[in-house]
Amino acid sequence: MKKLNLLNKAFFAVFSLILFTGCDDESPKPETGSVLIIHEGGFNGKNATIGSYDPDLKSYNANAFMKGSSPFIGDVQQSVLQHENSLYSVLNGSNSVEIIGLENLNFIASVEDEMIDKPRAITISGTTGYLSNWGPYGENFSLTDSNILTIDLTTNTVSGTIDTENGVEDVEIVGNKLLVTRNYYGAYQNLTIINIDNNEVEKDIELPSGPQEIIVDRAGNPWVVCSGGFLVRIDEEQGTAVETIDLSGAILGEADIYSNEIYFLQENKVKKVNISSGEIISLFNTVDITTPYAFAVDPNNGEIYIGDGVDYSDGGLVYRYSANGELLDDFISGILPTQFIFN
Amino acid sequence: MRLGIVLLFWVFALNIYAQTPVDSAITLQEVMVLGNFEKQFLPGNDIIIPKATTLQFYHSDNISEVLRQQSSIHIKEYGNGMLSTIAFRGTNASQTTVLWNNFNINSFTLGQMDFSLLPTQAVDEITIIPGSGSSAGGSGAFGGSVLLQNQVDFNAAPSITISQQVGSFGQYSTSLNAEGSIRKLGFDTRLYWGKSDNDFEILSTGEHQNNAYFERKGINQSLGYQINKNSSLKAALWYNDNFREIQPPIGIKRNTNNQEDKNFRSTLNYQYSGNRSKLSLGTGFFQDEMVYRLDQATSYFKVNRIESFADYNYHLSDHHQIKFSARHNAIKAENESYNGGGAEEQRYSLGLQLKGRLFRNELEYALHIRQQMVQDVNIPVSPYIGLSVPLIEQNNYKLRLKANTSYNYRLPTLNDRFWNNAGNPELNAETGWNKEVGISSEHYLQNVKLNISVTAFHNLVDNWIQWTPDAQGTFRPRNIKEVLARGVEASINFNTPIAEVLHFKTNLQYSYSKSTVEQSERNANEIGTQLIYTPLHKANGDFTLQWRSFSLQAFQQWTGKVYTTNTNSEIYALDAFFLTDAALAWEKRSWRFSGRVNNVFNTDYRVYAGYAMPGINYQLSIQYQLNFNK
Repeated sequence: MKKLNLLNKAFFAVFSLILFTGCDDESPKPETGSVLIIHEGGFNGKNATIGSYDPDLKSYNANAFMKGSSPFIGDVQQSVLQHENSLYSVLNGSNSVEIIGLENLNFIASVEDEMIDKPRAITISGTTGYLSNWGPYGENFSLTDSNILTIDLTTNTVSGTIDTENGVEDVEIVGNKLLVTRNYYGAYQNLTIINIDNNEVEKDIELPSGPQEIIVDRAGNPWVVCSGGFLVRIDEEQGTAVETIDLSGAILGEADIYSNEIYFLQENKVKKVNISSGEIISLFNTVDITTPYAFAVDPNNGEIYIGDGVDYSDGGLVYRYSANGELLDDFISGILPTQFIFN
Repeated sequence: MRLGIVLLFWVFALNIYAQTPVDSAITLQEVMVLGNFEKQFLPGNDIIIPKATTLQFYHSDNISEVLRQQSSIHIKEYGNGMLSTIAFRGTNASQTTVLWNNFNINSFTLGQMDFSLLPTQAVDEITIIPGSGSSAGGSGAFGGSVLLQNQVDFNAAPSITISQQVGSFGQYSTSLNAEGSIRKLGFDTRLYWGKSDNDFEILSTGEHQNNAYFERKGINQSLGYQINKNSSLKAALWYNDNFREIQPPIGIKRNTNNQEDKNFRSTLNYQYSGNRSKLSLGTGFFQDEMVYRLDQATSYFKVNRIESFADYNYHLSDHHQIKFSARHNAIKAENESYNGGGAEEQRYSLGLQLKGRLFRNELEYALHIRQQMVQDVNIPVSPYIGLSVPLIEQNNYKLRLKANTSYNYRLPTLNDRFWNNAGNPELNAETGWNKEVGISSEHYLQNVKLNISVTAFHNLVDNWIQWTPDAQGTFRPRNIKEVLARGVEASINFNTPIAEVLHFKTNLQYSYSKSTVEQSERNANEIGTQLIYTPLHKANGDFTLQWRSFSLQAFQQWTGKVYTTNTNSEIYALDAFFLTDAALAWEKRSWRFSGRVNNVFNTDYRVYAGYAMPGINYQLSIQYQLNFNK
């Protein structure tokens, strides 16, 4: 019986491969220089999408990703990693990681496993993926068993577990260290540092409130963006916070680096801080954003993209500003725009 | 176990009484409808009473099946047998009231009714009143009201009906209904139990649905006692226990969440009828409990209510009557998510209704006014004017014009008012101004009967409450929208004999509901767009062919495209779908056998984005009725 199932699965896999390869030839290729807009989709809506935006033509394609005839990747697309020629889409609701070809935005494979439970983010070193995983809920919806799952990307299967404290969020590899923020709606404000040579937790340090995204500057230094209004530079070797920039007030937990500056969104203001001098410059006021949800700077030209989640279940809004604050375009995108990826 | 004892008691009692001759004088008493909603006080409205054969067809389903087949109501279902909410005439799930024996049974925490918790077999009669208004239906009667009744008939001889059903995906349903009267005691007992493994094949993937099992059991018991010629007493009790796993969206396999709902409802009514007056006093105790579990986490809430009313009806003359009513509802909720772990609310209301006939009794009119009071909540006075005028009245042809207008309100729910760090106790009530006009005709040609009715409505809802994120990202309820719902409802009823023993009946309905956001403080992009999960077009029809002891019934519905985002994005829209259910039944003496096929054409459809619904499936049922002498 089991064998038959396996056979069935194998047949299905081959069949779908044929099917999807067939479709690929016909699907429109994203324009060169187009911006991918990652949408979380509605909670339990199973309607996460990837749209593409062409800044030159100011045109938006809502269905840039298609799997068969459906533009929906799965439920709650928490984050997407671009690595080499693929996108790794982490689905918090579907409990899987979908691998998508970058060039044609075609479906390649799914990583599914019993162990994957409310995953958050993925990073890759060589052929190993490191997936932060919330794990099951305890009483009162607390977390009880979060971890990092290692994924063998040659077979797309879960190969191991690194036990951590709860609430693991963003992951980033710097050298041979895996940096993991821990947050879970403010229950934790920590950074865990793991040595990926032996997959052992080396340190877990406390940070200012709201640690979320980890970004790496041109010099290779990791910074933790804390939504409480702090940027913290980490020395991953020593496992310490070496510099903290106080931004005086809460910010969106997503910031971006352009040249030697970190750009961030504070209330309805776009600001930047110079990494060398620590000087904060207020760039411009944005339009009134209901639910700031995504923020990024185009590395090609310094243009600023902001995603507005509106009411979390509706078509989100995307605003595109020039580097000096001129509103270049705005349009309705998918449900909860959460991330921008620039080619 | 306890249900078994009650059942035994009834069988035992009936056997004894079945032998006793009964005084024929008692049989002159009318059917007692206690806690009456006074449907006759709404002359300007269409009143839809689904036929007994329709209730029989959907006996083992939820009443949502009956509602969507018999009216313009659209039901949003989060999977098969899962949470089911109503959209009536382009209004939202909280804007239709559901009353049982004249008591509102909508959830007081969420404001809406989960129709998957209302099995058809638990109730005796369903009445749908589109656009009934708050002066009659109370808080939230914007789209209309759904009335559920369990009546006691002092005339009927006792009978017991036992039904057993089996169906696809491990579906079983058993019910027992004992009704009738013994001396001065009238009763209606309904016991039911049902379950479904619900592991149907998901048509789009070929996989079987996981985590969608459900089970329910319950009792609905009414007892009436004729005290004397003028007065009677009725007690009713309804307990429904529903357990379900929560069907996840297609392809999601790890979910292990489930929910259990326990609803206990009990009412006591006293009625006195004098020469020109009628007094009705009633009180009820209600308890709604819900437990939701996900992994180790649980959420729990309980709402206890005691609601009481007094109605006094007086005939001013042969053609005019007046009714005074007063109501009090004491609500106490336990919910860890509320400020202080709970909430209390006292609701009062006073109403006056006048109805009668004018101009040689040809014009029927009704005037109502009602005022509800809740501390800190701004609630408007709720008036209603309804008229019904015969335009043509001949032996074989009648044409009637109906019109009504009402100003309605919906109170903020307990969640809206008391949710921890989000609720606002001083929210205003939503308000709605409904206007409608309809024309209905009846044609008779020997044994052929044809009824046609067309109604147009216009309903402007203001102060619409919606939870939206504030500047800190916290969701809070606010009065932020104005929505205009307008449309047309049309129905055709046709009834004809084809041959001496062959009879054909049909009922066709079409509705157009355009419901658009007129003003929004939050999201300018939703202005002018159709409300989500509200089909612009909907049509349904049922057909019955009766030949001797056989009957063939088919129920069909076509639901137009619905949008699932406020901005009406096409990519998130759900496609229109057409469904057919059909059944063949044979009925003779005490036996009834039937076989039913649901979703005959194996249509893959979505009622809620991402959730699978079953393809073709089957049901067999057998029913036996035991009759006793009166």
